[in-house]
Amino acid sequence: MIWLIAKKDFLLNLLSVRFIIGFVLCLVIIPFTIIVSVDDYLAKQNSYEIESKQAADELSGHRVWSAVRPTVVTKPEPLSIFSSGISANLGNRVKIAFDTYPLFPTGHTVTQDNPLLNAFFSIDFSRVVAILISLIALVFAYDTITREREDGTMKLSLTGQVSRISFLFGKLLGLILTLLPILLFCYLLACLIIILNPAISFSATDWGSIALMFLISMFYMLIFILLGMLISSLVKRSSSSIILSLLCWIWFLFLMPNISTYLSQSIAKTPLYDNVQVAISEYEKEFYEKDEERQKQLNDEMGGDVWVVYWNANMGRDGFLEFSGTLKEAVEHARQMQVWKWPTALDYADKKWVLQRDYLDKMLSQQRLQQTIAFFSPSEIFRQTTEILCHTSVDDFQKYMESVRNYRETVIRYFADNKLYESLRYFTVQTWDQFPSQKEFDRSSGSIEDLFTVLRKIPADQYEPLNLDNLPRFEARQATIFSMFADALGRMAVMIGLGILLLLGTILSFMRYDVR
Amino acid sequence: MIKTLYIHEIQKYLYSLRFKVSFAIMLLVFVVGTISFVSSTKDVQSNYAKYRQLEQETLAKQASNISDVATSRRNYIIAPRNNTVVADCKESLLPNRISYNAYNVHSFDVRHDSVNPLLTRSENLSWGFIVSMFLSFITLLFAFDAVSGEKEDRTLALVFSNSVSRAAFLGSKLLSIITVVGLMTIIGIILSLLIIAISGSVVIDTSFMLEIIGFLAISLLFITVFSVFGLFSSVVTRYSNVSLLISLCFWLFAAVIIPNTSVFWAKKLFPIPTGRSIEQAISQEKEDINKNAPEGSWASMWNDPFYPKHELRANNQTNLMNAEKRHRNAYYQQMFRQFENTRSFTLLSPIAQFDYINEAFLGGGYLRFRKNWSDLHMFQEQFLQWFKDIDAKDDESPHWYNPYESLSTSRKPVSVEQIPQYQEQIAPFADRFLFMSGYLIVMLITIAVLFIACFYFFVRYDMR
Repeated sequence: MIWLIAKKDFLLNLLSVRFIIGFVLCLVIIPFTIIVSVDDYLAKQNSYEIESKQAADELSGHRVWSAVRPTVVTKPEPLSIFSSGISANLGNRVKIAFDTYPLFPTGHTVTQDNPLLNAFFSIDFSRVVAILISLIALVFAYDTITREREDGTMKLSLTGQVSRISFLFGKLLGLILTLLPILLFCYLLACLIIILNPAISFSATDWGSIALMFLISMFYMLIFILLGMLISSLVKRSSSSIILSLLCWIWFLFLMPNISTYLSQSIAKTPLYDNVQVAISEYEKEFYEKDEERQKQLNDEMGGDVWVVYWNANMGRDGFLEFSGTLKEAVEHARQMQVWKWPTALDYADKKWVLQRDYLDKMLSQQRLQQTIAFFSPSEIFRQTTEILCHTSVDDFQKYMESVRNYRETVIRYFADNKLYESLRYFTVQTWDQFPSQKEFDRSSGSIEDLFTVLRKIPADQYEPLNLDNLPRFEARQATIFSMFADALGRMAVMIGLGILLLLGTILSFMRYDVR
Repeated sequence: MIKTLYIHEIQKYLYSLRFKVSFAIMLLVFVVGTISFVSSTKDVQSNYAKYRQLEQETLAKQASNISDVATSRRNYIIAPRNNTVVADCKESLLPNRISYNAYNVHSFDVRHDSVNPLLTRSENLSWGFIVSMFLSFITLLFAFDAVSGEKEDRTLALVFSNSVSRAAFLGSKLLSIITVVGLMTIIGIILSLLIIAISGSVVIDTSFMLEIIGFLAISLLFITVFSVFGLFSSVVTRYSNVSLLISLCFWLFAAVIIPNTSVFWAKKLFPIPTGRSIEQAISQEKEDINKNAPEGSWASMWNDPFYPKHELRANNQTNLMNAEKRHRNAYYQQMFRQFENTRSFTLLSPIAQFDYINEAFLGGGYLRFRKNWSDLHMFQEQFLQWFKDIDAKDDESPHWYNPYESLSTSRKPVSVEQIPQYQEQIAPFADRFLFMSGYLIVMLITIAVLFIACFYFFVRYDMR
């Protein structure tokens, strides 16, 4: 019996205007969204290729260890085509430094070339599916019960042998049968565009994620079908039912996300980073003061008249120093300074990190609060789940940044284990013997040519760059389909629970429904 | 006759379920939005005040050497606006920091923390947002079955059996929808204002009241667009559920599809060179300048301002700055054009029209940024002149102006009070009207076209 009702509804729906409009809407919007996202992804991919090559070139050209600070370039996530999550808000590059911890990546974002475009929002496949599927589900479900009553066919059906339960389930099945092809069509269309594009390659895990996403979308669709049916069973007239359904729709899809974000911003407050920066630069100043103090102290220890002059020197951030052509005493001075500087800089990085960590924690607690408030909307739960499945959620970002910070520790350990920071190669390509001592220098006549000879100034670029084969490289951890499934399980359970609740509600209210 | 119809329509709407439910939701959103605004605005303001204070402290330290004051980079952060509750104009997403010194206005950027990057992007619950997203939707819900619904209820033929002209019928429908939704807006705003007044977080003065009245007028116009479209969808079909679908599609395109695909259109229709290529061009030219600079252009001797090579150094640095400035300014112009063109493109959506009119009227968002950007350029010239005047009086300075270093200009201390400070000039109402006139015309044309189409179809509507 259920099957009969379902079949009848399915055939009726298939010929309706709303089916055609819904279908056409999907046909227009889904490919367009995917094309926009693919375009975006390819730009990211292009930028990734250029930048990782740049990073590798830059690294391999270094001659001294003080310049060796690898840059981690994030590989764009192919699944971000389906759900971009927060990936659009963040850059793709992290420069490893010893004097600071990486907090947020910098570099390429969608609007890198023109920050003004930042004011425009963007949309992705999961959001479009969330909007369209819920809308179509409601538009189909709102009159399942009321229309039959208004047409008087319900009385007719229920006078026969059809029980109310089988009537209800028949209707439900009919709706699922009608909507499932639309949903399937959306996914197939999206996948087709991906497959046909030779520049994108999805791994088996990625396809697994998409299959899971499809499953979630089905739950999501079911929730809205049931919501529509519940509303339909609560009111008498179709015109009231559609209004209530659509108000629910705009509330869940458009108001709730904004309410949750705005509310969380006003409850969990974050400081202005510029103000945090001031506290950080206080530490930096303190460090430089200590550095100067130590230099003087060291000068005194070394006899009081060390001539710290380099013939050819470059300096830069994070303790970068490269020189050639100086005296043995100056070299020793630089080395001794480095022995002091290395642990001190790391120490200050830790101090600064306390401030940064606090800032990050505040950001995170704001985000957690937003997610919690957003639980009142099924579409937001759906969004959060798809973000998890597409590795673009905040947790994924957190894990990623954690692994980058761990990589920084690994590099530091590599420097410490090999005692690189106290070696001469930390700041010069010349060997100890190539530097004259003060005495040797004093013996020279003082003419420019003589100075050259004595200081044995050799252009730095005649030296071989460092061999960095053993330097640890950053490797991003790949999430398995099971870990993803486990992460998404909680939210999936909530969605299923919600579905069951709605189903029970519908059954209960339909049982009492006045069919006259 | 039109009056009777109008009153009848209003009564019908006021007693309808859709009015009751949407009114409740609207009140809820207004209250939540305003409370959130009130609670965050104090925080935003105190953060900003703290920032200003720290900035003044830095300036006080630099004041021991006037050249440091002139050469060190300063950031101007766009201050929180008083009327953000009306519409925030996406100021937290648009460029909101401008970096400058006495020699140049260097660059602008979006502060990465002006919006928590870990949050999904969303708009603030300002009045503008509530009107543009929620009330536009409500309007369509009120209007979609205005004609086709009556036809289905068989009341339409009845109405026209009396001596009612079609124009009067359509006019009363339109007016009643605008009245009801407008009433909702006004009540929401009054409620919101009450909460603001009680909390005292925003000073409610004449200009603020004027802005509110203007906002209301703009909102009414905006509601008109959607009610006309709703009526239009209602007269082109025979069934109300089809007209509902047409209305929903229109709303989806106006609210979701067009605004959210702008970046794509910007890149495809109005492409500009990549930032990377500009950086390359700059570093290439800088390299050339350095290569061609006379010997000793990088020599310096801190203790002796008159060290002759300082003049070469100052020249070289000035050349470097000018080269960079030329490239960047040209690129910025391209950015502005790309952004403006994209905005013109999005004017297809009435929601975008509404947002831009509001923005212009409130003196916020992009127009505010552009005003600050050009005002800062003027300020920078005055600032440099001030510095040069003081420097000219100093005999210990060789007057070789170096935009990045304090080597060869006056090193005298200066009192902090004397240092010119940039003050944002809020655009006067006359300018704002000028800004918004273009957008306003587009909106009026939209209304006119839709209304004519609506009337055309209604005259031919089959009443049976």
